[in-house]
Amino acid sequence: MTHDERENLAADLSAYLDGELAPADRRRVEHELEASAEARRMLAALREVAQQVRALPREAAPVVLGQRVRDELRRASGRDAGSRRGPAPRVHRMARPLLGAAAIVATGFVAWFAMPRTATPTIDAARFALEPDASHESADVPAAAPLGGIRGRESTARRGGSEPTDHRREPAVAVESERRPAPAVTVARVETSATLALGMPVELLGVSNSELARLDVDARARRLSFDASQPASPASPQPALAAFQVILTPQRQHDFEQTRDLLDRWAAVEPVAVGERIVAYARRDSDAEAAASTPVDKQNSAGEAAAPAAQPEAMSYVVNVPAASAGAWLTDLSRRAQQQLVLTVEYGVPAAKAQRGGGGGVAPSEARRALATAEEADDATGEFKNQNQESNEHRAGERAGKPGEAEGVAAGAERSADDAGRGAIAPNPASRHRPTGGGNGAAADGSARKTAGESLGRIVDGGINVPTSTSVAGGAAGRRGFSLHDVISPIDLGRRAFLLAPSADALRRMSRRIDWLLVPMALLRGQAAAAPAHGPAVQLKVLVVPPGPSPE
Amino acid sequence: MASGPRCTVRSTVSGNLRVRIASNIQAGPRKAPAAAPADNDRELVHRARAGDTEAFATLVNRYQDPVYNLCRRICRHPEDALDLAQTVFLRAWRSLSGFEAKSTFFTWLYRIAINAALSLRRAERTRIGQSLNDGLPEHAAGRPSAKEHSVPPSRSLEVHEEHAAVAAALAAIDDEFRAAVVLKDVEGLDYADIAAILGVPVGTVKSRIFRGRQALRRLLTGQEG
Repeated sequence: MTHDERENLAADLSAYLDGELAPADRRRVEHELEASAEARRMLAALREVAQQVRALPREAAPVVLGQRVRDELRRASGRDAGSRRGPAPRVHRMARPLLGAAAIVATGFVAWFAMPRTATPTIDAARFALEPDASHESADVPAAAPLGGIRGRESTARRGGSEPTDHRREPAVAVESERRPAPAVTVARVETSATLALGMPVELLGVSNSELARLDVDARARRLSFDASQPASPASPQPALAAFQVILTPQRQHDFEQTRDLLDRWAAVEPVAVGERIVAYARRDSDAEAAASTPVDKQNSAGEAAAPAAQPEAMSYVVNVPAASAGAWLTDLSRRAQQQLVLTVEYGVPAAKAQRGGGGGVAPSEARRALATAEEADDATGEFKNQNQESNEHRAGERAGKPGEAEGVAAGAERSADDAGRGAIAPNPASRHRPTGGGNGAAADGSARKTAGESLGRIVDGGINVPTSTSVAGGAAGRRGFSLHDVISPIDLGRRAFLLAPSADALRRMSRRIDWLLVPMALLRGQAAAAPAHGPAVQLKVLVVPPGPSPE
Repeated sequence: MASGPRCTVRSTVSGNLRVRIASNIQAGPRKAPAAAPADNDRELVHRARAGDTEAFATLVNRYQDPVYNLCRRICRHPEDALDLAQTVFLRAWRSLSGFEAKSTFFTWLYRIAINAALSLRRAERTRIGQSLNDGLPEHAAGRPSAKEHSVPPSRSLEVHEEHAAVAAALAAIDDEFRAAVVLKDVEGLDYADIAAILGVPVGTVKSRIFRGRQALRRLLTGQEG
């Protein structure tokens, strides 16, 4: 049988499978099936594929769909009131360009007249001030307050309490008013548009001042209160990369029931149990806005106790942390975990940056220096000891000077990828609630990675019992075709990807396949080359699993 | 954080959540509403064309599930599917005056949906940035399915994996093939209806379905041919 004949037969078999052949063709195909084992195999293969597609689950349309359409129709009817009713009449094809041109001209006039002439908040990137600066208040963005001053409020928000939001305390973003035309688009379009989280702390790492301010403005536009604070840590030597903890909270408090109601109402908002509350991630501005403006019920607004906290079953992050902040970040994380969670921290250097070397990226030597910086952890306090930084940088520099070491480290990490995935990522149940005494998987022998791993382990062990393992740093660039799994839902929150698994067991099963976690977000977005230089960075992968037996 | 009560609360809260989600997921494939009351549709369309939004809302109610599922199979993200489904209905509303009733309303609506979905896909390809969720298989970008907790976790994962692989493969094949395969194997339409929706001859539909299945087979098994 020639190739063409085989193709024709297969096409006929496909149609035969669907009952779409004419009687004569059907008889011919049936005859072929009787005579040819290959035809039977082909039919079986096609049938299997068709069955697999048919077996895909179907979902009912979200309730919100009908509502949205009805709202739009109502809006359209409102607009049409006084002019006409019903769907648009047909416009002659020749008239369309003229109508389009007229519309453009009209829009231009309207936009020109509507252009605001008031002062607009803009951000002075150089003023990354954490102190309040009343002289830079703007009409649109309330005055800044010390970041440290909102810590109490942060805990309130996290507990989901019913206290009214304290509007007197405002975020400490240095905002400067300038007399210039309002960049309305800046306010309306936020780069992190998909990442408004309701009522959960979100760490924005390496966030720029302008990004933070944009988020602030955007949150306010959505009636979300906006808190920003710095994790308790030594001042970062790279202020532009300082880590912030941001909490976005609907001004009207809501509890978990309300959150679930939101989820039911707004299907595009995804429920995730994170930390102490169920979090609704809104992927679009409109969803966040809608969720934020959804009224709470009387019971909740009456001040009844919020629903008890939800607990995550398992949670995994990967995050690029500025080297200088890595220790502080981990310390803060472990402090918040408060021995309720088991953390497994892996670390590495963003592979793409390491491979890129110069040209705006991070050279291997810099990357090693970044890792070496993490050695500055103090066992007891979990804080960095910056005074030792220089000597460690010197050591790291010496190590980096050895020819071939970068490749060796990467290769070692590659080799350990499977091990790290299978064994190290999944927390060892026996290690829960007891000190582990440092890293448990220092595979990159002789490298900065090993010592840094132990130090990172000690950092976290200082506040919580954490097994630490070495990480997979290499090969990210070649792993674009990663295998994702349906039970893990990655969520892009700013510069950070959250990966959430429904259960510890699911995550453990997945652990063999999550080496793609270490693919930097920027690389995935194809923005690696265009990404601004963020300085040395350490990539951390954190797995958070609640103690105790798995729910299953 | 108190660990004792939280365990109980967790299961309660999560359980409730999952039950709610489960109610939104149907047990399996279902036939598209081929047996929809066409006469009734005609009447509703007639009223809608006269400006009766309630009549159109009834049509939306009737067809929102199949339209959403069609969009869901062609879009990568659930929220895109939702937006797309909304767009489809609004486009249908605006274009009602152009509906000449040569085909059924359902077929016409599907044609709008397919065209809109394929346009969206073309636009997606031109985007510079990509979300981390791009390429996610079934359910990956969305909430975890409740079904996984009604069966042993191991089996649940297997089912998930299978669905994920199929959905990912479906997302990977050529748009034209995918549209034909979805209309056939997901929506259960016959070749003539598919031809009417896609605006191509029946022979082309046959070819696209076959080639789509062939491509899926290759992707799912890693085999050639």
